[in-house]
Amino acid sequence: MPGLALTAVFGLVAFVLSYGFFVPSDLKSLNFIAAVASMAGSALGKQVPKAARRLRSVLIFGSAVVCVACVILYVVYVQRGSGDLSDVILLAVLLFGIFFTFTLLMPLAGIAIKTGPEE
Amino acid sequence: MRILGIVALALLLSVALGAPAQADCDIGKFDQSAPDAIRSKVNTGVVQFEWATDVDTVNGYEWIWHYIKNTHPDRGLSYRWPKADLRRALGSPLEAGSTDCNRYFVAVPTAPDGEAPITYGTNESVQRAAVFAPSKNAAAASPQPPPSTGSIIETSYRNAAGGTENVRVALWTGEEKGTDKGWSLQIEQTQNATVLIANISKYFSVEQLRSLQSQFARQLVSIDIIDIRKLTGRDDKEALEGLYSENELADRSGQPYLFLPPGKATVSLPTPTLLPLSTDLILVDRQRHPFFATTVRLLVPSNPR
Repeated sequence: MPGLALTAVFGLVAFVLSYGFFVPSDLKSLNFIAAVASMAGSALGKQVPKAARRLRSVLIFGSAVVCVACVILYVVYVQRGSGDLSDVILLAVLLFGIFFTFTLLMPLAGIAIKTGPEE
Repeated sequence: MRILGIVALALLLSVALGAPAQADCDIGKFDQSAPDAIRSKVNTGVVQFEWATDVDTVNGYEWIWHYIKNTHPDRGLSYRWPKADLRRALGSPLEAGSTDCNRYFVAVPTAPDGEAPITYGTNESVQRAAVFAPSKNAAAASPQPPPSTGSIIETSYRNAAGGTENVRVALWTGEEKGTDKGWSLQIEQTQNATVLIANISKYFSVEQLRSLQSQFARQLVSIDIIDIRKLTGRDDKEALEGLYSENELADRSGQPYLFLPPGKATVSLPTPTLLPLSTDLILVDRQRHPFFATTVRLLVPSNPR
């Protein structure tokens, strides 16, 4: 249960943080995508530290690159989009990418929030 | 005979402004008379469109026209142009090469309004624009409702198969003169969209609504009074969020809508006086998705309460 609660907290924090990004007023439901992405990212991230060291390094590097790329692309596309359906899908994918990779990175990079008693 | 006047007017204007039922908005007939149209083009590379506003005299009627044409070769355009009563939701864009237009006739002098911005794209960029509108001074000086109203809306949407479907709605309301004073309405719309008119039902008594339903039914149009949830399965805010700003949505919560499925019908009711009404008209596609919103000016019966 503590793991589930922590995942929910990640979702809530991401939902609030997503308001820091410019989201078109027609697409406020994209904020929920940030919450879902963070919950998925944090749940998956908790499984990865058990993986081999080399795979972990690859994942850290890959996630960091994808996260930065998603932020840059989001900022660029939100300013350029004409409102076509493809723009809406792209923004949703990029926002998912930002929050998924960021919360995946946290446990990989050794940032852990303890929820139970110390072993 | 009682609805002859409005039918004649509708026919006359249909011919005068005539566009084939399934055609895109024909801007070739724009700017036929003075004053000159106000128009401009926007080109940011990704976003390319043209907007225009004009007043034309057609068969003695002053028609205010607005249109917005997406001139980009392959990208859709989402925009809001509130003062022209033209709106497109993000995700239901105006297709490349298509035009949204509306026109309505007015019985008072008109004047350009230079504060009519167009908000477009995902960045909600603002383009300065103008619209011709009924002059505020003239409207205040003439409190009497006009003898008739007429609105034509031409737009389009992308269907589930990826094709573009053109939609045309023409709506007239008018006063019946003679011994049986009354109200009449004529609507003509393409088969690919449903019309929702907000807040009109409260102007009719229960008996009048029954009469309207039976008159429409005789012309194979099955009308109803519904809320947005019943039609779309989503609440007002969710279903209309792309079409109106948050403040506008707050005012539109829980509105009843007159549901007009595709068809053509003329109906009338006896009533001593008429009231002018300006209200929302929303178009819903075959997938029951609201894709376009505008404002229409109508006459409605004035019932003693």
